[in-house]
Amino acid sequence: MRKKIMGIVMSLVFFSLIFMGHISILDAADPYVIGYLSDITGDARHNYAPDSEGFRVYMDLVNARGGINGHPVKVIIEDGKSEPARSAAVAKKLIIEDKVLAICGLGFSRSQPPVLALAEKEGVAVITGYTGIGGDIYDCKPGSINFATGHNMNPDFHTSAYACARFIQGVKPKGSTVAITGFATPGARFWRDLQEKWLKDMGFEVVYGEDIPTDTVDFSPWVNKIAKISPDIYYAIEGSTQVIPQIIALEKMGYTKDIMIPDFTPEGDFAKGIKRVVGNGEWILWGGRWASAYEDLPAMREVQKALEKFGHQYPLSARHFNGWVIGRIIEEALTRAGWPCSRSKLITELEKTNVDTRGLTGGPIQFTPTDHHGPSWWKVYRWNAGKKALVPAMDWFKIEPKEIAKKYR
Amino acid sequence: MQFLISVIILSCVYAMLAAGFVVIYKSSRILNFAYSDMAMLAAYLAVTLTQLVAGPPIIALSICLVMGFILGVAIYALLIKPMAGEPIFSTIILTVALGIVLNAITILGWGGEMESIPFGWAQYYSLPGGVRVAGTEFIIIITTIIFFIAIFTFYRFSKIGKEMRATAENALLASQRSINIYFVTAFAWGIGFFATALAAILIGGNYQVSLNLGHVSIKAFAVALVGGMDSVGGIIPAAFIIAATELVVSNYINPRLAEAIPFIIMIIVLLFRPWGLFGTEEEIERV
Amino acid sequence: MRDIIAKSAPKSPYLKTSVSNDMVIQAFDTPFRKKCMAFGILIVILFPFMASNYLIHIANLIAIASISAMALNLLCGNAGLLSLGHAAFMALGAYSAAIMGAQFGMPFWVVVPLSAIVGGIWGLIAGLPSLRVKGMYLGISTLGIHYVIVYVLSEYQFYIGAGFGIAIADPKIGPFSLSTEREWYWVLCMMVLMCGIFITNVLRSKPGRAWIAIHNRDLVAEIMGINIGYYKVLAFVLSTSIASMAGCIYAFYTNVASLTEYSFGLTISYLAMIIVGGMGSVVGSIMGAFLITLVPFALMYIVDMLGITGVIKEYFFSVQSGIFGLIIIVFLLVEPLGLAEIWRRIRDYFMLWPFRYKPLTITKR
Repeated sequence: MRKKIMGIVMSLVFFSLIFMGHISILDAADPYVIGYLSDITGDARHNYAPDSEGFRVYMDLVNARGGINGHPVKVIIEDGKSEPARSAAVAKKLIIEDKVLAICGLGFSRSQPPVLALAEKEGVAVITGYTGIGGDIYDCKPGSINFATGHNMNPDFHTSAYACARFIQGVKPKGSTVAITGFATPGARFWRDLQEKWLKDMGFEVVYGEDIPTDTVDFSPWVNKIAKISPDIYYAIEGSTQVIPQIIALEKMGYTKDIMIPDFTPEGDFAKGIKRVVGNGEWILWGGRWASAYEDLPAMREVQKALEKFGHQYPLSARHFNGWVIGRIIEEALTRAGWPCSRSKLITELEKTNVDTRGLTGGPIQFTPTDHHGPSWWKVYRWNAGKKALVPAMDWFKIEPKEIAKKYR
Repeated sequence: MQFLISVIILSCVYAMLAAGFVVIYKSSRILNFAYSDMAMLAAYLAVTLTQLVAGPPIIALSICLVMGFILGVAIYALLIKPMAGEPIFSTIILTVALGIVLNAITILGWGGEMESIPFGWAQYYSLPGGVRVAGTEFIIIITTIIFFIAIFTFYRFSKIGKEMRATAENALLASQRSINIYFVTAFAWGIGFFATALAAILIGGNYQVSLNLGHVSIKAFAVALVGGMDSVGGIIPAAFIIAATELVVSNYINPRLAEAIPFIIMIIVLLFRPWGLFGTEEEIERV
Repeated sequence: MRDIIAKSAPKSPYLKTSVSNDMVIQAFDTPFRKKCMAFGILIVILFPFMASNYLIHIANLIAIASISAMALNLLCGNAGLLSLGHAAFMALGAYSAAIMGAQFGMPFWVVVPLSAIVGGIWGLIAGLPSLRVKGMYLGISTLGIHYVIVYVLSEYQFYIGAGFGIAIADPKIGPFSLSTEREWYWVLCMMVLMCGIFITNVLRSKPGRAWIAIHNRDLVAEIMGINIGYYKVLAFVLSTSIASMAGCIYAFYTNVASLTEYSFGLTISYLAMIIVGGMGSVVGSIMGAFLITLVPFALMYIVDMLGITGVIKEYFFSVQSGIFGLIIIVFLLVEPLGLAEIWRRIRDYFMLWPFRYKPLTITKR
């Protein structure tokens, strides 16, 4: 009997200790709390996890230098697993429990709508990284929560479709034939549709456009057709898991004219994929908004040093640079905001952003109260077998938001 | 002609994937939902082994296959045998949970990047008739043929094979004839995981090793069902039918529909011959 | 000595002496149980005033999951018909909420019953194969129906141009709008209660008895005169209508109807809920939903509490899902019949305690 009572008392003490550990002792220097929501174990984790790593090591560096305005920055990284339900629950945790000032990153496009709806309800700024689907981005009301630093894939403001059409315009002469394929998801279908319209406007001939289901093992139907049609350039709106086997199958069928892919293939996967190509691979082009890690710039070496100091899992890639610059944006906004900072104050300060990226993308990231996207710079690279690296095929070109806003809608 | 070769290669892939399912179902009547995660783990393991072990890749791959076999036996001994006699549903959910654990181990160990398994034979051959085949595709066809011949002879002629067939039919009577049913079932699980690892290596070598490797196993499940869940011989014609239909629809009709084709065939077969083309007939309800 | 103990024990409330006493739902039949239920209801009512919005959100998710799990348990646990298409029926409910609620602007209290009717119609279609096949093959045919429904809905979603899910506004009941977690909590608790009582009563009436008979030996049930075709399809229709309602409410709660949520993996997690909870019991579904929904959040909390940050936290995300799988494995190895079985054993242990109650007759020596 006594043993039972002792057992009950001990378990009560144990559980209350667990719950009391939740009470934190307030420091003299309270931290700024920023949340980062990403797909760290989801389907496309090798694309989204490096974003979070870039952001994390930049904030670790800032904290090592003494923080912002004398206060440290607490970064809470949570995993959305590419599932809408889980992303929404985790976003609720960040907003309600951890009381973050802003949420950065966001994951796969299908898991974003509930998070964006929730953030809008609570007035929390959302700075999307790699992909964003927010609509209220350009010509928006001041105080809108959406900010974008990467691909924006909302049908009203689709930067990627226009940019990739401009890529093709930059490397191929007018009148060339183009084939485009994409994932069979609604988001990729929109992209392909819009890109075809842009290309037709620019004077190119789109001879083949098709969707490929996401779980395909054998690409021979599409590969055979493309090899037969033999367009001058083939654009694949797909991730590395599909595009690399396609490139290899196309090479087998004898198609080695230009193939262009977006920056959905991080440098680590790209290097491994190139090793499997039998030829020299110089027909492969890769383009996006952030500079490739193959360009050895001083800013990139800085990122590499920080990654090695604070620990990382993925090799250096353009994704890290994206996260790094989001860190810079937050740092500048918080420095201007001072202490204490509220969510709406942070949004006001973010609307004055002007961050010099020092080569990580072609120009500065600029936000204004009515333009939460700003001008963006894009670049395309070609694989060079001699240097074993991606070398620029075209220099940075700038896209102003008004060139794309609400076209084709 | 190229089309025919594509069909043959795809049906070999499906057949290899379905073999793992069928062997396990035949011996223990359990739907193994840990299949896709097991395949992913085996593929990533093969990648690491080929990097670590010097010499021709065949040594590293054999080690990977042996490890797959041992893992199958271990899973049977630790997880399935204690659940013998409990409702089948619980065991099936156990395999689901096992799949989650294997998935977590894979992500923990390899971070989810894309890899490929080098066989050391990356050549493209031009055959007469305008057909182009890759070296790795030859390996797939040859391996599938060898594997199925081996499995056939094993089941038919070897002592353990006959014991496995006896246990699958009626475990109680088999045990009365002094067959060690636990050893035999463990062996069957080992072979099932061996086949899974082999299929994963073939896919990894020819296509790529990534997180989506397992998603294709749903189609293999359809293949196993159409051929008969407990018939190893039925896999090959079923795989051929499904692969052929899928590629025909993909090429000539509508690629998006091709994703649903294995399931449509499955439903059609279920309506008319629920036990598959070559499975053993079971009691079918008629109202 | 034994007689003295026996005579001094209180009269057993478990020995019912009239038919109307016997028909009371087991949760309320004795005074002790009534007190426990009152205490439980008190906790449920006080909970939202003491907990943060995040915890109420988790409770709401558990409530919706338990409604859906009860529907699945009705089909798989009681009637014994394996159904692998559960997620598709929830998707039907969600999309009926999207189409009828967001696009045609019908009010909430009209859409929910309508979504049940939509689910019921598709359940009729899904139930027809049960007249011919059974066991695992029935499961496969429901899986086929799942893919058909998902394909139709995805084509519709693309057709209306909503690439990433259809947004739904907060529902309004009269002048009240359900927007905060706490308001939803009351509504959902009531729905769980109504659903639980409804299913318990159905199980105690004619269809319930028919399902027990069919589950055990359907050949014998048919010989006895039970129309098994009718009752099997009835099980499907009931289960899918409730699942559809659960999906509809879920879409209203999360303000979005997105198709990728309703995958085969969701069906598997609901199956895990009912198996871990205990097949065939209403309380089991609720307990299973509680456990499976709560464990990932609890793991996140533990990771936070241990103060894990940095690159190690990246590794810990996969460790979390691994531990989740391990918990289920260990649980199933220890008690394959689920939480309800553990609950029954505890209850029986106390009920059968020797000399706890006065026996009906005391033998004279």
